[in-house]
Amino acid sequence: MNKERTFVIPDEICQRAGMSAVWFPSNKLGAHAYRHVTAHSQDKASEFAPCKTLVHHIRFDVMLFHPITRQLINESSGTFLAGQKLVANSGGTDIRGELLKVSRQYRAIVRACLENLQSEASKNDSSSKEICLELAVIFYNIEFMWNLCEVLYVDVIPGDAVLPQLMDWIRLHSVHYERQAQAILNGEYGSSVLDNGAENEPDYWNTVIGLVLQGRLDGARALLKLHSASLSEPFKSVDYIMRTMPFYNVFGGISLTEFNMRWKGWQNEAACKLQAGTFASRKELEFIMKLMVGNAEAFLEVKDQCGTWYQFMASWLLYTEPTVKSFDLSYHAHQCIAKFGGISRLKHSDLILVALMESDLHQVIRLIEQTSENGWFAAHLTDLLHHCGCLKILDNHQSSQTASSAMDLREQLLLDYGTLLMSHRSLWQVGINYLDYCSAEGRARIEALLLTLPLGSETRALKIIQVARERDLHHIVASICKIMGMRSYQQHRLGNALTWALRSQDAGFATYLANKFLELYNQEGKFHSLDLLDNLGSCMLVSDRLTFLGKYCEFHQLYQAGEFRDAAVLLVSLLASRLAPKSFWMTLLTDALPLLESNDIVLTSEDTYELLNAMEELLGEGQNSDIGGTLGSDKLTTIQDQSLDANSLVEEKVKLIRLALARNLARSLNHEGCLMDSAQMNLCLRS
Amino acid sequence: MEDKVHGVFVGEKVSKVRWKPEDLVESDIFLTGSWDNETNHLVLWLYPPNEDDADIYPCTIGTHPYDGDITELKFINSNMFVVSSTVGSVKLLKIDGKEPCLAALKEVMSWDDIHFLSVGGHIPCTGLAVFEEDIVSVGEDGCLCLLTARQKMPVRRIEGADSCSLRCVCFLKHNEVLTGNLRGQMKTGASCVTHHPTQRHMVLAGGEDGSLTVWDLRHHTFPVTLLSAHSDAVSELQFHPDRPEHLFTCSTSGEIWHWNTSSMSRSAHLGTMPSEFPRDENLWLNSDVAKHRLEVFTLMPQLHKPINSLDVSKNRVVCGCDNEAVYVFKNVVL
Repeated sequence: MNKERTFVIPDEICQRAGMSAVWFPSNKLGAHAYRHVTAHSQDKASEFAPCKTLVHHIRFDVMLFHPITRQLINESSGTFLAGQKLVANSGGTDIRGELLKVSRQYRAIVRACLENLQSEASKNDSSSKEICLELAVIFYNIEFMWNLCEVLYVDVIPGDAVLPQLMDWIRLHSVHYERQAQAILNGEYGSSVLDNGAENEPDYWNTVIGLVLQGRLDGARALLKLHSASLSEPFKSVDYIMRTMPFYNVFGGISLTEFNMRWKGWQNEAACKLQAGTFASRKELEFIMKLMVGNAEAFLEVKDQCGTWYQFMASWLLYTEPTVKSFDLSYHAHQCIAKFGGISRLKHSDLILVALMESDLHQVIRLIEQTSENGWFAAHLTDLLHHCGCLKILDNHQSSQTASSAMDLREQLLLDYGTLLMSHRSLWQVGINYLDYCSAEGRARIEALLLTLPLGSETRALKIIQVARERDLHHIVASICKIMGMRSYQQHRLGNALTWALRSQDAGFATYLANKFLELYNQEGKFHSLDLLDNLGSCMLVSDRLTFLGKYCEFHQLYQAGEFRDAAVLLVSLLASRLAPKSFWMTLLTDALPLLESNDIVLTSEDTYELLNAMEELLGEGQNSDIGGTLGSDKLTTIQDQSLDANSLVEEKVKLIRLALARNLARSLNHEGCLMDSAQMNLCLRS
Repeated sequence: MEDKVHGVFVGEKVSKVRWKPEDLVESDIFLTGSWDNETNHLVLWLYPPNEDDADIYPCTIGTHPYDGDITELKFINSNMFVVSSTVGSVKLLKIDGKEPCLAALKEVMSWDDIHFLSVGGHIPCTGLAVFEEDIVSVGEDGCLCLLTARQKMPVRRIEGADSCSLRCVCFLKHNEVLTGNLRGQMKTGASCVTHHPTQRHMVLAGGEDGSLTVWDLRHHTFPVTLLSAHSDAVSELQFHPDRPEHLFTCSTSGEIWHWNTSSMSRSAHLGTMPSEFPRDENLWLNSDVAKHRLEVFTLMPQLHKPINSLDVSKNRVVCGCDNEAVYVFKNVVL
């Protein structure tokens, strides 16, 4: 476990100068050439320059991200979510039946993955053959262990008689004898006295014994019938005994005690026949009968044929204690292990099986974490067991730990798994699903990790934003919008940048961009992205500057549409409400010129007073403020920068505007005066 | 329900899925494009419309690696299709090989970098529309590019078609194209747009808040109807090409729905004189639509991941999702 491994980075400069590395998000290292400088190093130019340097990105090779196991990741995440929903909707009722289905689904997913791995590995031209084989072995073991775990902890067996299910488990995973039997049965053997009996098959007796050990008595009987002497007495007796062996069935309707009685009766009968010498003529049959009455020496002889200690244990229990309870298994397990060489010779997966039988779930999980499929098994199994309530047993044993230690364990495993997924470019969405269900730290992790995801195209950014929004992480949404907006801005796409600012209702950014728009207008005399600005609608209220920009565009729209009165009103209101930035007033006043000069009186005297007021205020601050200079900057532009021509241009403008204002004032006062007079006259006439 | 849905895992998040069009028979091949992977793939799948054997799942018959995320796929004719991606290029590919088990995807023509930035660098091409052999592509740079299947050089390039990124496009008539951008004409962005197959002046747009808006292009300004539909952005919507009273939509909240207006057309007919009533009067423009007299079916239980794309052919619907799987629905009731 604690082996050190060395990886060589192929970089010439690193070789000569030295190397340093830095962690960056999602478990990656960036390594680069580095020459350590201390207080005593000579201060001179680097002897390596000029040279080409590289930064190497190094990441852990996650076996789980292989294309075939990716399907497993996705499918199991679906099952995981279904399981969580189940628990959330259960409201305390017993959902063990449903959880059993979830467990079976997980196992089905693993088996499907296994099939794919095996078919990929069997292709000759497969490039990842070794990895596939390695993964296949790992997942085979996982399914094997999960099955036992399901039998012992998830499935609720009435009376706790676990042997039938144990036998199923064994039978599912060792099909060797069944296959051999099938081969023999498919051969052409009759039960005639001729030399054609199936016993001439080299593995005949082995197969029969194997079938008997697995409790496949029907198969054994079928094979025995193919023996040339199958019609003789011993054979008939064996057949009868095999046919009448009682098997415990939960739904059989009889209680455990009654079953025990029947079973003991059956075994006694068989033992009597054995002792009476019924099978003395046939050595093999006698041996089989000894097995079936639970003779210890006979079992020792078949130890090798059983292969592993657990198969041995199951077969032994089948013929000595068929109603064994789950908590007794550990005793038997240790006995069998001793026969197979003791604990020291156990493999890692065997240790897990032992821990399962000993109900030491903590140990189970600890051992599982050491298997090398990156935490998939540990995370999902612990989650399932937690929901079954099995992990609470842990708390009773560990008095020093708090009541939530089981939950912590589950959460830690899920956090690790989720974080691992988030380091993948594409599977981050799956990772988030897992982190959602970590109540203590999940949310914080999601917040931290979402920001580390590279943003890529707009579609991807929008997907990340959607995920953040669903979880009410508004500051992350704002952050991403700002990044996308700045990126658009750097690409000189102001309109798009503004869209992003509006999406997150970012007032500061919107103001910044609005200022840029106005600057551009000043420089070029026309608006960019007019289609966007015309249709801002109520979004413009996000920032004052943006509102001004929007209204100003509206002013131009009205002007071009010929609605001069409305345009004038808008213009004046922009100045009067001081919505416009000071720097822009000159432009606004210049825009007012044609309106002032028009033939119809568009601006009333009130309006003209406002404009005059604005003009005076602007000039009163001195012309050394930024008239015609840059917008949005508080620095005072120095007058030396402006040429004499610029200054005189400004003076010309001011003169023109003043003149126009004066003339309009005269006109409008006159006009209004006439109106007033005529109104007064009407009044007089009437009264 | 189970025997009508077949799901298969692709191993990459599916961004677009399209049936290969066949003239008279039901098509049995569909194409998927993926996104968000280091190398993405175009994969061709065979799914024979065999009614007897309910256990046949789609299987791969050809793959082709692709640079960048695949953003849009459209078939031009029954063998050739165009693909657009996030590196700003559009490629025309051909499906080769008539054997049912093996097919190769060959690149016929490639228009690279038709969407780019003035400061250099790629920009994603986000949508494509095809009309016979003309292809229009739109990108995040806000430009529209007109291409022909035969020519290497783009025919026309409309710059600054929009100041924002364009996200979707469809042909209205041969010389008119409708685009939707990041902001859309309304407050919520239009994320996808489609037109009615027979009445081209009617356009349906799906929005980012999950709403469906119906526009009548004869009257430009306001949408005719607004239906709030999905709980999250609508990622794709399609009319059934032969039976336009059926609409299919899918969303990023993992829902896929089938909108059926045929019952409404029957009730409309009963109350009118058969000869005078224009048969093609579109029910979507009818205000009854907004009064909830519309039947909506969901094709499968809500997924926990976004459904990115769907396609319809005869009575089968295929959809591709971010949980890296495609699902095919047979025998959709029409």
